[in-house]
Amino acid sequence: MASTRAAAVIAAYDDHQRELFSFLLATTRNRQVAEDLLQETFLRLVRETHAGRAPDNHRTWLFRVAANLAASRGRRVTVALRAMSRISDPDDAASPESGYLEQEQSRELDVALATLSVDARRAVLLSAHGFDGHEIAQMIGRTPLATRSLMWRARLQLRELLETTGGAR
Amino acid sequence: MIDHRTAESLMAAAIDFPLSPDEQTALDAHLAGCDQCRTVGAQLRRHSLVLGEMATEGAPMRIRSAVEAAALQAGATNQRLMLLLAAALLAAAAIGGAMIVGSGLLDLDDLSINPAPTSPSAAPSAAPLPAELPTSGFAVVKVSELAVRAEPLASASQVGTLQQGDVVSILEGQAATDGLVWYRVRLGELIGWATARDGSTEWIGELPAPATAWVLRVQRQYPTGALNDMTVVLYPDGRLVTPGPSGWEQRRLTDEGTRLFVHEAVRSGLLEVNAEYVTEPPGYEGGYVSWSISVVAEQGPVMVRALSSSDAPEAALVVALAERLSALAVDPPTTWLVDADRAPEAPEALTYNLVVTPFGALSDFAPEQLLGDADVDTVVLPLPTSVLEIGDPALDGPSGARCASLTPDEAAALREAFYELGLARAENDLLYVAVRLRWAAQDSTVSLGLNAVGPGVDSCVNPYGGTG
Repeated sequence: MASTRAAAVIAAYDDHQRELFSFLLATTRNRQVAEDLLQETFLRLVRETHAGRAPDNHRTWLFRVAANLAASRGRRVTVALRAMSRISDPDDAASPESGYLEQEQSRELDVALATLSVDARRAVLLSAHGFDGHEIAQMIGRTPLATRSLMWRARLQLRELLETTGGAR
Repeated sequence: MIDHRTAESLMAAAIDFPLSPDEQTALDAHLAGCDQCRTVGAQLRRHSLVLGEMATEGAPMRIRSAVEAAALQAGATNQRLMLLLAAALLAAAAIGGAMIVGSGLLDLDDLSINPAPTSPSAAPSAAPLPAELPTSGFAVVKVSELAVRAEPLASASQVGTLQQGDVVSILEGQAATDGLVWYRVRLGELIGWATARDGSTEWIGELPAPATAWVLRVQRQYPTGALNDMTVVLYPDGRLVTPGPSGWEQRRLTDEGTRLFVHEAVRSGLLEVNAEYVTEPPGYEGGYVSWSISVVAEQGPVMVRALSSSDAPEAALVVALAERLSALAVDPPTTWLVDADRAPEAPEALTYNLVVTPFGALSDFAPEQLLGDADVDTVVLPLPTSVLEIGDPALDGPSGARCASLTPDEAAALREAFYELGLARAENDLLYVAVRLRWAAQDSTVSLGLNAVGPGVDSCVNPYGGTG
């Protein structure tokens, strides 16, 4: 019984770690934070599973938890990052994600995504991972109307950046 | 009629939410006469698709290890296993997934496996005593019966009794009271203080040097043809060592894909070693293998006994192989090659070989033998001294930084150190820290790199802790 639960968690990890980590990396834009949050997400799954509250849909549950952790973490570190960005070399700032940014298409997108708020970014990235608007609204704890507004603004902002900087053509 | 801005927002919204019929009608009407907005709409949809195709990246192995340990810990009914995993977790937390090292095994006692009997602070240690028994490793009981007490005092309550021939782990020493010399010992779950000598008579003595070493090798053949080896070297003094794609492992935890927990217990003169592995074999997409094997050894023939703590199909397989081996173990031939004729619940195309090679004497034990069996389709091990290098294990793979090249003399010394792995106890001044075998899959060659050593090559930081 216990080992079945453990196996379920481990299987969920193996099935979803890659997309979740990529999602967290893109959302938080910080490798260390993304690693921490990925681990925290799965530790929560361990707790839920062990308490007999295993989610019906691991993937949705994991993305919801990860998205919420990213947002709350993002709000906390925003101020600090803002202060840091003034004194640090932009290249240095990018280096933790350098592997991630190597793909040029990803880089263009990443730069554009960076201009979004954490809330908007995670919503758009959830969409990129296949969730529809209503699911995203539920996952980020907003009304569908507010989510829709958040997302179309974000998408227009992304388009503006990508098309005017000549990226993603 | 809606304006451009409204049209754009509707097109953007439509990516994630269905539009209402009114909205759709208004948008369609606008788009019918507006090339510009149709272009914008196409761009928005394209960007949305591109976002979904962003590069993905897997998380570091250590996170999986932590999650897995937590999962197993949460559900563990086996206290020992739970403590082992907790220890691994703690170590991972403490040292960032680097390594457990040191002079001994994972110190379960620190985790209060048996909180009752001990009270080290009560040891009224007098003048420093000459070291007699190593404060880690094993010792053998030499008298017919020996009391184990909660404290290093003859008047302390007795928590158990040792028999002659019991091989105990030395956890702590020495303490001298009442003219007696005490060591804190462990036999299985029995932990307490025992008297080693009264000044003249030796009651606990050094374990005779091990006479044999055993090499167990599990080979996995993947559908792609890739061959993956897991080799375990068992020493009768209780240490298990395994080389793998990420290096030699000896009671250490890495974030590179292989880790090994070892727990030993000695009962009635038999040595029982439980090892748990979690590996990420190369070429096994998304697959992690976890299995556990238990080896019970006497000073002589080795019985291999299975102790499964994993549901992984491969664990069942290893268990099955181990059982077959133990049946053969009465009079072991020089080499067994056991072909698994079926892989229970395992993917079809996997085939397995388990090779167990007993070596007569430790001095015969050489890496060449370990990897060079002619009857196994495996790598060869040319060992020119020129390929010996001291690398930085923190940097994995062929690009690992080279700290120093070796002179032939140094290389010879290092090979000695390597052999000592089989002979010496895990003491803090042991030169050996890690030996890494690297091989290039393409040309089937292996180079032996010694990643860290002690005095004489101290330009290399000992990356695995300890005092190297």
